[in-house]
Amino acid sequence: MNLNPFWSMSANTGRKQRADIEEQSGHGEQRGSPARLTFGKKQLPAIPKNAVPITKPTAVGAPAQSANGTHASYGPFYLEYSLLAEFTLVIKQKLPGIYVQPSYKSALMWFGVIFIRHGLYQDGVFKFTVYIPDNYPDGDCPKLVFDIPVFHPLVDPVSGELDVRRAFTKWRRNHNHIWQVLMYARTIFYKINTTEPLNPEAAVLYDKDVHLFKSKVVDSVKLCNSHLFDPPKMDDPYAISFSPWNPAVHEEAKERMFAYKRRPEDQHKGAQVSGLSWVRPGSTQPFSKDDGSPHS
Amino acid sequence: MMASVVVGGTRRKSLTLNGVDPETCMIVFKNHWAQVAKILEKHEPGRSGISALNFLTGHVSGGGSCSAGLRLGPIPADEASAVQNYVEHMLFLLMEEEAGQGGAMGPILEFVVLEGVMERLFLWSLRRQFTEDMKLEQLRMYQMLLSQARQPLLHHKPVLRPLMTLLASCAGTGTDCGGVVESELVFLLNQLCVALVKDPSVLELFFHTSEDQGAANFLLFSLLIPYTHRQGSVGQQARDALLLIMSLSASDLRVAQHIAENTYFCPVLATGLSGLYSSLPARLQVYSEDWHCLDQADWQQVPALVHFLHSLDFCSTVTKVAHPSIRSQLLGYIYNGFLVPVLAPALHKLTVEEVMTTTAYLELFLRSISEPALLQTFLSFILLHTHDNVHILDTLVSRVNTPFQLGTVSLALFRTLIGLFCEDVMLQLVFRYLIPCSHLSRMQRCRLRQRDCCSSSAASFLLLMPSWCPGTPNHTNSHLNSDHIHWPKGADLSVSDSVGYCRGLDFLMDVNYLHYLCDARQAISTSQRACLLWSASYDGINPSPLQYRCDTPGHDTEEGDEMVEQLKSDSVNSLTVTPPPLVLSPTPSSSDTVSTSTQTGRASSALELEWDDIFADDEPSLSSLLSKAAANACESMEVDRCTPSPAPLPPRHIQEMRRTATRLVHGSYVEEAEFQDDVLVYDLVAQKDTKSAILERIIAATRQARAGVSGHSHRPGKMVMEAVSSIMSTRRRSEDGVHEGRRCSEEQGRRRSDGCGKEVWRIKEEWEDEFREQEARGETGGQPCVTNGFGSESHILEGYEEAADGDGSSKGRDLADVSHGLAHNRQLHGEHAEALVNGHSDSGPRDRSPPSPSQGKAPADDDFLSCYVELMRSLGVEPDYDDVTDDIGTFRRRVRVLRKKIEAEEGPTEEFLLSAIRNIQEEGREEEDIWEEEEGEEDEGEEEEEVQKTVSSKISNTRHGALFTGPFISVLLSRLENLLENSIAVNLLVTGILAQLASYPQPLLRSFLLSMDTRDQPNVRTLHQVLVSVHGQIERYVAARPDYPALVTQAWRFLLVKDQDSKFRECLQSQGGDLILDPSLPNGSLRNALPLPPLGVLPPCPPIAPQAKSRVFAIILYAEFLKELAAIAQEHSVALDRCAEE
Repeated sequence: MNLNPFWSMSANTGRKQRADIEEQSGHGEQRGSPARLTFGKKQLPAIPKNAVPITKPTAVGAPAQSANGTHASYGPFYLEYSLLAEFTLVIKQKLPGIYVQPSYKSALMWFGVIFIRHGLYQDGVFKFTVYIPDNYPDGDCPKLVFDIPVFHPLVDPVSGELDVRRAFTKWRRNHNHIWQVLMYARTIFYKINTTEPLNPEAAVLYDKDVHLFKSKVVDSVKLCNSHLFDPPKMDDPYAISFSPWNPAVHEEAKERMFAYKRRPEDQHKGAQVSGLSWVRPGSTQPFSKDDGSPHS
Repeated sequence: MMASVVVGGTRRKSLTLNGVDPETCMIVFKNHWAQVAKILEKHEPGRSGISALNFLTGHVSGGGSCSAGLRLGPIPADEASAVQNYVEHMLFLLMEEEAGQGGAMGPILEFVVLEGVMERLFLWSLRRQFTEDMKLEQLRMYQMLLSQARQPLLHHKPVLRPLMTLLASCAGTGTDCGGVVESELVFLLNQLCVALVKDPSVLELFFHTSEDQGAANFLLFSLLIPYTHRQGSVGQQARDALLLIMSLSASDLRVAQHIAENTYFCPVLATGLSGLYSSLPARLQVYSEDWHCLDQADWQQVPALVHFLHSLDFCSTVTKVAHPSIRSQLLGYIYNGFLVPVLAPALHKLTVEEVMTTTAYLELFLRSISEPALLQTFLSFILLHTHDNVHILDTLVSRVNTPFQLGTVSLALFRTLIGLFCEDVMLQLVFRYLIPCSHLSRMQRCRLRQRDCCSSSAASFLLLMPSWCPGTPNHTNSHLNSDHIHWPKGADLSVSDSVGYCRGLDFLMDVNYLHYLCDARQAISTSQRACLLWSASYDGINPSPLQYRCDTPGHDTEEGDEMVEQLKSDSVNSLTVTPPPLVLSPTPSSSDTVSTSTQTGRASSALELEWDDIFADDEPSLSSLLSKAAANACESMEVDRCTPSPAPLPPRHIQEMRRTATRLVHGSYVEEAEFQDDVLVYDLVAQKDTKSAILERIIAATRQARAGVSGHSHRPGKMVMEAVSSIMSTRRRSEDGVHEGRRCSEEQGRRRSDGCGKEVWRIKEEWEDEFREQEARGETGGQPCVTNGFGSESHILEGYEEAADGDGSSKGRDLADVSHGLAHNRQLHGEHAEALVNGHSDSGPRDRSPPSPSQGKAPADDDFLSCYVELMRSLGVEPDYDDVTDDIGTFRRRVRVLRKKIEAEEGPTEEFLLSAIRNIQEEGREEEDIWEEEEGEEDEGEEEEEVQKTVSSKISNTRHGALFTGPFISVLLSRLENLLENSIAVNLLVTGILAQLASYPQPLLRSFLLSMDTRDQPNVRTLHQVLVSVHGQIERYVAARPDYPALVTQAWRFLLVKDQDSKFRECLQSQGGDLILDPSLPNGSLRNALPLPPLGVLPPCPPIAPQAKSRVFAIILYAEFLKELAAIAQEHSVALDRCAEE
């Protein structure tokens, strides 16, 4: 699995969520998370209009009998699996310093945090939220909004929204992925672009007075970091929240993180089904391994 | 006798010697011995002269109970009993003695050793008549000593040596009555082995002792070998003992060497398997077309099979624990002594029934073997061994397409093989055809490893849902406001709202998609885990397509993609450019079609046309062609370069098969030139099998019918065999009048209306009854038949019913429909719906499913009539109704005449068939036999027709130049394409295998089966294409039958609800008061979320005509299969790539 503890964590919760689902649907019953609380009035956007993509095969006869008027729709499945697949891809990318986690309430909203490790924005810890359009992947590109507007030419100083669109003028299904958006969000802090800025002040300063720009950036980073322990903006159990180090709470978790590496191997040992192979690596002949003694 | 020592041993021990002075014990012992010695000496002639051991050796080699030097008179009884008494006491004292200081011998033991007490006692028992009783006595004496002595005795030669001699003298005592000596001997041996494992230092002495003796080394082991395959506790004990020695061999090289080099252990084990195999029933009688493998309930009924499996298990354990040298020797013997000489021929027996049986055995063996090394031996036999120049694997693959049970059983075999997650198997079956990536465009190859993030594959499968079926995605847009299924939309939604159980009947159609997702996830992660230790990821890069080609023998260079492309076009060009001889005889290409290096030039590329062209040409011999081509074209080219390698492409066996097939149908409807692809060839081979299958069936059925007659009369109330009774009843009906017939049919009707739920259990019982009965029958005549599976209806009966139905309705039908009906002939009426959904079995009560009308009643009198008509027609004569109704004799005469006529006209096959039938007839009763024979004739005719149809459709369907993705894939796809005609069992197996294949994580396979990309490739036949074709078939079929959608939908709902219900019950049973099921939980608990229909509220199963049943279920299965595939595709897109993370 993953070596990065944070990744593991987020991956874990993701899987745990799934595990819940599995467990329940495994019993052939309901799904959804067990402890359902009431959260404000956050409403998910309406269902994707046309989640069924793709060309239709030759004449699919006219819908003959729609007897009951209610039919299964696989649209939600497509959307959900598209998002799950995207999330899986994010995990696979192992983007340095970026951590995301889908919200509890909607798979279309992901919470994230980005750690800047060097450069002008060094030591910056910026929380953000990714909003995915409900007709994903056929709609616009996802939005990425920083919780606190970072002082940056491409970040809207009021809303905190990152100008993602300039990198993804048209969102192409199966070609553009959410991890690319996250990657882009990271890149802007290392390589600063001032053309057509959302924050003209920052752009002008960067071009004209880098020193002032730098000090503004430092202020902005400080500001962001000072709000680090604030409760999450979004009231969501899966929202990312920081708290000061508290050994009673965190020590154990930290240990578990470091111990995590070993787990995959354990899993293998416990695995009931073990495959077989006598193929020598690099060969495509059966029983080509040395110990695979051919008999006749 | 001394045996009483043993018996009384424990009792005596209770009078313990606690506190008794050891000195006193010693004195007592010595005194006793003095008394004994006195008596012994009196009867030992020239004690000083003859060495005891010489004497013994003489005895051992003589093997008799008496030997030279024992010419003295009989020993008086009082002296014998005196000795016995003393010895009892002495042994007791010896056993109770504690070891001395620092593990030294106690004084008594020392005395025993010095005086050679044990040896002299053994001599004494020899001196008397060395009878079985004497042996028992001695054996028990040692058993007791070993188990109860407080100090180690075996370290001392004077104790050990007589023991070994005794053991040796007991060897070959197989003749004693009751095997008492044997069991005591084995028990003692077992004890010794335990001692050996506990204290390996004794081992040294065991070897030395035997050296002194000059007999075979390591006697202990040699003595155990004969009991290797023994059944019962003696055998078990011996095997346990052997396993102890085996585990010893793993650490002790000397033992390993000795066993491997000086004993017959391995050969005995392997040949034992052969022997046991030969006692297995040569054919299993199967009454249900649904039966496809020997499950535990099946094989436990066959003692010979149980026996075999025990021995196989033993071999398995030996390979696990023994030293590698022993292991490899044993595996070698199993391969060369069992698999090749016994199993290979058995897989190629003449009759389909036998072959089917062997296949079922093989499948069972593969399932039973737990030890990878042994499994490897079996698998390498399957994958690499060639029988008559054909790889076993290819033969097995070709049989998948056999109509009849053999095809079903073969499918089950492959299901098992694929379930092993064995790279070698998958390589040979599938991957070697995919690795070259020739089925992919370059673009596709690049995208091979990409995930399908947009669920487009899933969507493409789901779009193939029949247009009329509920839950098709076409209607998606009709309810935009439907809730998400998986994640709640708003905060206030209760679970039940989001689940929406109240949304109508088709809710379950959604829910069950969740199950598919869940199962798919499980399956994918299982295969991912299992495939972790594979050598390559099969992702289009590793192994690289080029490397693969280079891997094939006789190849030297590597080249880029461009080269490949170049060569491909070269070869195409050369088709038109090359000189006539080459054009006229395009060669089957060698394995390395595309990999030809440039220097081989044009001529060679002419040799390497798209290799599937083999199937289009009719070249008789590959080798001659090759040499010709080589001579013509390129002198420098090495011929062996072109010899087909085992790997990837046109397997020689296909040629072989083609030839066979050509011969088979020579002069009939298939031109040689029409062999266009492997599938066709397989069909023809299958057709060959079919012919013998018919014969087999007739023979078997007749035999049963005959056997059943006697059984029937004995137990009129029992269901003996419906086949028999139906034959009987039909006959009686015609002979004895309507009354009798009605009684029978009533009885049948009653039986059938018992309700399907009960039927399962009842059948089980019947099965057992039947089995017992058949065993009994086996003694009286004919070979014992073994019944398998549980269908209660025989083919014969069905055949007639179907024939009747067919006659009634087929008049207006076209050819295709007739053959549909024929396919149904092979279907079992009693098929149960629960087999359908997800493979969830359901043994629960199904009281609500009313028997379908035609099942409920046995055919009336006109049944016989229509059968007759059908038969007559099949014999080419328009039947005369008057004849039948009142005179069975006339009928019989007519049949005979016709038979003769046909005999004269038809070829050897029919003659064979008929003569076989005649043989049976001579043994049995005539009436039934005529029936059987008639059926055979009819079947044959129909079969012919059907095959003809298949062939012609195949020919028309076959696209030239379709890329070959391996015989296995094509045979699977071709069976899938036949979905509507297949039996339910076959369909379940085919879809199950495909689903499992699709769950494999390797991108090559995954993309081939699931990806959208490949489906556009015009020259590759893909799963998607086949599904499209089936979709078309279904739409056409249903379009002609307006009542079908409603019928299918109703049946579907029934199945889904039942599936759900049974799952729920399962859940309740297994989890009891599980939290989720706790009704006390508030909203969100299962109860509220999904109130299950209480028992008995299941929607009724719609009445489906029996002949339509399998087709209705096939349509449902098709739709469910689409969901399953879609779910697998979706889960693949979100699966974490384990291999990459390693």
